[in-house]
Amino acid sequence: MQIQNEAIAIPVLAPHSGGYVSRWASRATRFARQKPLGAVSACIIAVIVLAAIFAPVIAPYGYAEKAGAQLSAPSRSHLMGTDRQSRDSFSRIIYGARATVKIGLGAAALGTLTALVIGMTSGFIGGWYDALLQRLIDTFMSLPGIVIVLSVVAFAGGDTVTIILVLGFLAAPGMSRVIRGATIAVRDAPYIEAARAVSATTPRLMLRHTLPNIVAPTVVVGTLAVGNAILAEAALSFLGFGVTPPTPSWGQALSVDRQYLQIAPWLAIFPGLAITVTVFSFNMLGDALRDVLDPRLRNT
Amino acid sequence: MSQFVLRRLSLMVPTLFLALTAVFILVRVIPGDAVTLLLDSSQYSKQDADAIREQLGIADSIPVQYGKFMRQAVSGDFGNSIWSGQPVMKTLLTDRLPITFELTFFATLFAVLIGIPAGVVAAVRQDSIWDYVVRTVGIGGLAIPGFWLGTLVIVLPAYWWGWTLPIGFKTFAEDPASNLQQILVPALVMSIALAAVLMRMTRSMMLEVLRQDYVRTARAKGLDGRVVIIRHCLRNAMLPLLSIIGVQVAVLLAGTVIFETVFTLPGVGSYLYEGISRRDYPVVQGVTVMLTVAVVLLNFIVDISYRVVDPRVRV
Repeated sequence: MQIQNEAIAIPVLAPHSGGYVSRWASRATRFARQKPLGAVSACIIAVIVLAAIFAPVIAPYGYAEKAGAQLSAPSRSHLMGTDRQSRDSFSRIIYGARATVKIGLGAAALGTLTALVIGMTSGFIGGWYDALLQRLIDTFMSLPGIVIVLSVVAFAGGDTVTIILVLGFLAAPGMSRVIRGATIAVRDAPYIEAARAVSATTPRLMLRHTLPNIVAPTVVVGTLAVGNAILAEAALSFLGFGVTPPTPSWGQALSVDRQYLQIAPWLAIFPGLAITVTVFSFNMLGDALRDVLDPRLRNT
Repeated sequence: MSQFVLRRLSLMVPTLFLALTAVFILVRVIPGDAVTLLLDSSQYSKQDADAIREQLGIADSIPVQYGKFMRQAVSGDFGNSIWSGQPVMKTLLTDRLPITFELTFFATLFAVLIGIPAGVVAAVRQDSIWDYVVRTVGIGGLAIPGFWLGTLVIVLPAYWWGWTLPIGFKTFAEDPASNLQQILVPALVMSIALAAVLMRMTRSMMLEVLRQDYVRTARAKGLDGRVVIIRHCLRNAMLPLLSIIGVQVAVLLAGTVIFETVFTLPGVGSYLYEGISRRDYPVVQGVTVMLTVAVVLLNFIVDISYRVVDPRVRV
C-alpha cells in the first residue's frame, strides 16, 4: 500500500499576521462592550496623558506667557479665562497635567511594585515572616497619611521625586494586603505543587508560577492607587508644598490666586474639575477592570 | 471581656512604639534639615544655626535623637513653639483640639446620616434610579478633592449673592450662631467623602444580608417590611460598617489639615499647617505624634466596641 502524503483538511486557528495587535484589539472591544463606562474612562485617561506629553503642541500659550488682560472671563480666545498674571488658564491646565500624570503614575507604580514584593513574599513564605510583616503593615496603615506626607515634605523639601517616594511608600501597605490575599489563594494550587515536585526553587515558584496568576488584582489596586495619588498631590500643591511656581499644577492653581477667586470663580472651577474628572476616570476604570478581571474582588 | 481588653491593650503598646518609630524615621532620617530651611529666610550665622540645632535636639547623633524623641512622646512634652514661645501640648489641648473635635464630630454625624440611609434605599431598590444615583455619587464623592469643594462653597455664594461665612472664629460659648455656621458648613463638605464610602459599603452589606434566610423567615412570618429592614437587616449590616467608620474617622482627622486651612479654622490641622509653613519643628512633631496616637487609640476603641456589639466575635 502506498502511503499518500495528502494534506488532510484540519481546521487550524492560526493567528493571522499581527497576532498580538488583533488579540489586544479584540480584548479591548470586548471590554468596551462589557463596561462602556470603563472604556470611556480609559479614553479620558489616554487624552489626559497625551495632553501632558504634547502640552507644548496643544496649549495655545506658554504656561508663563502673558496672554491677554488680567482675570478675564472665559471667552473664545481664552477658553477658561486668564489669571491675575494674565496667563491663559486653559494652557496652564494642559501643562498642569504633567505634574499630575508624573506624580500619579509614578507613585502608583512605586506603590504597586513595593506592594508586590511585600504582599507576595508575605503570602508565599508565610510563618513568622508573614506574622511580623503584617504587624508592621498594621502600624503603617494606622499612620495619618497626609500628616506624614506634609511633615516629610516640610523637612525634606517638596521636589517631585520626594513626593513620589513618600506617596508611593505610604500607599504600598494597604495594597500589599490585597496582593497577599491573592497570593495565599493560589499558593496551594495543584500547579504550584507540581512545580515544587519537580524541584523548582522558591524564587522561581513566585516569579514564574505565582506572579502571572495575581496580575489581575495587582492591576486593579494599581489603577485605583493612581486616583488616590493624584488627589494627594493636588492637596499638597494646594497647601503650597507640591510643585513650585511658575510650573503649573492643578492643586496649586486653587491656592495661588485665592483672594481673587471670589471675583473670578472660573479660576477655581476648571482646575478642580480637571482633578475630579481624572480621579473619577481612574476610579471608574479600576472598578471596571476589577469586575472584568477579578470578579471575586467585587464590592471590596 | 476584660481579658480581651487587656490583651488588646498590651498589643497597642508595640503598635504605638512602632508607629512613633515610623514617624521618627520619616521625619528625621530623610535628608534635609529643618534649620537650613529655617535660615533660608532670615540672617543667622553658623553659630546661631548650631545653637538652634542644639535647642531643638537635632544636633546629636540619630540614636540619641531617637531616645529624646521617644522620651518627649511618652511624656507628651514637645517643648515650646519656635514662633510663639508657647508650650506645644498646652496650645494643642486647650485651644486647638476642641475645635477639631467639634468639626470631626459633626462631619462623622453628617456622613452617617447621609450615607447609611442612602445605601439602604439603594440596596432595597436595587437597579432603580435611586440605586444608580447612589452608586454614581459613591464613586464620584471619592473623586472630588475636598479642598476644591470647600473653596467652591466659599467662592460661589460670594460671587452670586455676596454671602460669606462669618469671619474670625468664635467658640460656641462666645457666639453660638456664628460658631455653628463656621463649623457646620465645613463639616458638611468634609463629610462628603466619608458619606460616599458609607453609601457604597452599606449598599453592598445590605445586598448581602437581604438574601439571608432569616430575612426571608422574618418576611414570611408577616413582619412589616420596615421592621425587617431596620431590625433584621441593618443591625447585621452595621457591624462591618462600624469598623469602616472607625478607620475613616482617622482619615477625617488627618484631613482637618486641609479643611481647617480652607475654612481658616484655628484647630489642630491648621496648627500643623502653620507649623510646617514656619518650619516650627516642635509644633510639627507634637501634632504629628498626637494625631498618630489618636488614630491608634481610635482603632483600639473600634476593636473593643466591635466585640461589644457583635456577640459572635466573643466566641
